[in-house]
Amino acid sequence: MNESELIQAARGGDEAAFEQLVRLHEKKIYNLCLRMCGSSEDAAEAAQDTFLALWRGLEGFREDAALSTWLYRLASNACIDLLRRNKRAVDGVSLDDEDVHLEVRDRAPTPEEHVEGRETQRLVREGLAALPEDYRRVLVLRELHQLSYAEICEVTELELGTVKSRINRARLLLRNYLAADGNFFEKPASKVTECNQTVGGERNAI
Amino acid sequence: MKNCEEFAPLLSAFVDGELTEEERAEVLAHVSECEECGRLLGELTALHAALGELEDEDVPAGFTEGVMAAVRAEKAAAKPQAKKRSAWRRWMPMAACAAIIALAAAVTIPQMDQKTGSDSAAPAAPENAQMYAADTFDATADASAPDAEEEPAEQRCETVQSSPYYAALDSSTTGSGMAKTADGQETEYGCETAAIGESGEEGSLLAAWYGPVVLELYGAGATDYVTENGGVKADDAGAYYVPIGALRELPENLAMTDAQAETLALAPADAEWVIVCPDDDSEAPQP
Repeated sequence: MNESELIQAARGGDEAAFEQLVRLHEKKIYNLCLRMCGSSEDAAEAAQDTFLALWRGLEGFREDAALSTWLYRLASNACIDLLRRNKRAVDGVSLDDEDVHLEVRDRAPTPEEHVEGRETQRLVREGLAALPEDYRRVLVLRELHQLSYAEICEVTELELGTVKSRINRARLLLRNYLAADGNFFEKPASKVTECNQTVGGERNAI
Repeated sequence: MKNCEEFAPLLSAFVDGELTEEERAEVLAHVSECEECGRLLGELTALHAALGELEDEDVPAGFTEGVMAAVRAEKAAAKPQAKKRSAWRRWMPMAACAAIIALAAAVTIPQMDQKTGSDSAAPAAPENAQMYAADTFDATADASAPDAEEEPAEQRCETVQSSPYYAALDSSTTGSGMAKTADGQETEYGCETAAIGESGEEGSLLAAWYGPVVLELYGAGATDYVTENGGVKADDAGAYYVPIGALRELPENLAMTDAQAETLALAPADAEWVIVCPDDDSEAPQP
């Protein structure tokens, strides 16, 4: 069955069809939640909440809307809700949740990670996790899920100007975070110019 | 002719391929002449590449099964014939209920083992039963809207986790009423004491639960307006600390989005400063 047939069937209560839908989208949604929430436990919880919300909301789902856009929106909201709940727990003097926040930032590199690429990845992950949630959200949707500005507007229900400036700001904040590390931006000048030409070209060429 | 400040926000859109052909040509021309913008574009590009290399992780084992168990719990709770059982569960202590289900499952296990190709969807293993019991309760608990939390009306002190990006000195906030932000999330607005700009003098900064609020101001001349009305540079990314009064009566050519104007309106009386990012390139949103 194609996706819209699966949706139809799931709407009628067909669990197997719904399970298919979950399997089709779970990796994407889980990874969005992972980058938003910072830990695999929280990500699993937010992702499960997302699919549960999908199940509950299937009846109201408009045929012409894209399922993945809607899933992204549900997931993004589930993450913000979870982060807020955790935050309230931190305020209520719950040391466990506080450890979760610190965990992401203070982990020393393992011997494997000392291999250059891994170290960079860890820094970038940490920088992302340290961004304020509103900036993290748009940057994750743009960079890790390749949504266009228009799609991000749909998912977040923000206006285009806000999306653009938040992405810009998120990038500048992240770049300041990484620049503080010292080595991150040391690249030969010629390589940088090459990057400029090719990156801008991919989408603009359409 | 654009100057460097005007190009800065375009660089981000350039990396995303969201510029028109004309804008793209302008950026390339400027960047070939301007070392600083060239460097910034290179850094943003490197960042883009690094983010692109972040690996996706696999979904944890048992995730799909967990989702389906929760879905089945919803279904069971919704069916008319199951309502009797739900009522029964409500007055049974949770632990006792889970124990009974686990016991029932334990009894059926030997029979399941003898079946070949047992259906994973059947409520077999004790783990599934525990999950089923737990999820049933979770499902009924979550049936109401996720945001239905009661907030105490009186003010309370919160420790706001300070982001490494903002120089908030003292992270005590006082709550002052719930409101919705642009994304439809409910937020409390309060104040943080922070060092305003390079002078280091302290002021009271408008903040939400996640840290200082950042508003965008749109329209040509936004930056000038900010700097001419007491705005102080907050960082090198185009953000300023702005006296809150300056934002309440904007000239006609400048505006904020409705949602952000609402945020401003909900600021507590003792908020003196707000962080603002002026955006001279975007059009002021129409009311």
